[in-house]
Amino acid sequence: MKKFAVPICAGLAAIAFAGSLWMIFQAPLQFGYNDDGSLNGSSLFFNQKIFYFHVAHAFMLFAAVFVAGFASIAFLRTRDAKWDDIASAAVDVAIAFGAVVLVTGSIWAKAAWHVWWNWEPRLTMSLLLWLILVGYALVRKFAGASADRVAAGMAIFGMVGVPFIYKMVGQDSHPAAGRNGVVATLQAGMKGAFWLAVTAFLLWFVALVIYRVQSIRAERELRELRELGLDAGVLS
Amino acid sequence: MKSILVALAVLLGSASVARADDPVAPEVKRDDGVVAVDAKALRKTCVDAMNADKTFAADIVKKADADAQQKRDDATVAAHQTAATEVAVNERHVVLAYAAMWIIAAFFVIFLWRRQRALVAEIATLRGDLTRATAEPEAAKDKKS
Repeated sequence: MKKFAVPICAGLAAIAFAGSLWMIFQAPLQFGYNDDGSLNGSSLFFNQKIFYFHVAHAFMLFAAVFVAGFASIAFLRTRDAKWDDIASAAVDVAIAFGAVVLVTGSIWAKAAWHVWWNWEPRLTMSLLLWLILVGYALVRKFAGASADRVAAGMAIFGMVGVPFIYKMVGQDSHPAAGRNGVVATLQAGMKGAFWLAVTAFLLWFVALVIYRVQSIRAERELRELRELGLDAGVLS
Repeated sequence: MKSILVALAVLLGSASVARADDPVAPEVKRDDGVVAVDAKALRKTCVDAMNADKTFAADIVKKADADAQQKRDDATVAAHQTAATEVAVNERHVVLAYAAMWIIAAFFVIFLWRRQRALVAEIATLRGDLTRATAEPEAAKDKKS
């Protein structure tokens, strides 16, 4: 079953992705009018199609950071390497998802606000979170023997920042989050497409994390084999 | 020619009769002695005349409604034209964003796949080397004995 977990998740993700793509382009364009018949300022039209993948990737970024954070807590408490593997895999995937969030967000900003970037709280915090994740990967690669514990601390630090990005930054250029936020108040035709996209990327996220965990275990096995090789005189 | 002249005479005669039937504009003598039209009284006369003619009042309302509807229609058409332009302009951004998502995902998957392949290959090589290294001394021992 373990052997098929990645292809099953990836296959289901592909099906859900194809479905979401079809629904996204069937969904109505997002625009509204003022009382005098003129277009209101929050009308995004076709550009709003970016929302379905941009926000879904942001959700997966947050999920990956939480997985890494909790796995790191478990690792620091138990010192069981399996938790460290999960945390490391989740951070690698979070870096990829975070890159998509930042790039698609920047393109959206150009269309909606006519700038590629502005230093509003949510954008700045998202960039900082992504840099923390990159820092985590660099620590794991270069920090030596204590890398796993230092990296675990960084993952927990990154996780603490997520609620700030999601909710606690207050009103800025981004639409509101939470109960009255843009996701909760989506039009009926948009809701299905959005949640199907989230499901597709959740399955994709799970497939990537499992695959990366397998890869990290292979790296550990290789390290152990090298030590054996050194002991046996096969490697010099 | 004679008949045209007769027709003209009849027309002018009827026009003068109609003018004689029109209400006379109310006049008021100002302080400086000049006799002027009483605007207030004139307005009342006009309003009374319009109210008396139900068809005329309905026509005014109909015309005002039609003008307002036309204005709304024009605004809607303009808004839709703006919307269509916005959609066309935004296509470029949507294509860019989707392309970025695919490129990042593809790079990540290729990176993971190549890394995994290299790891599997290196593990297999090392395992083989270790098996041979442990097998050779045993074979040498067997030969000696």
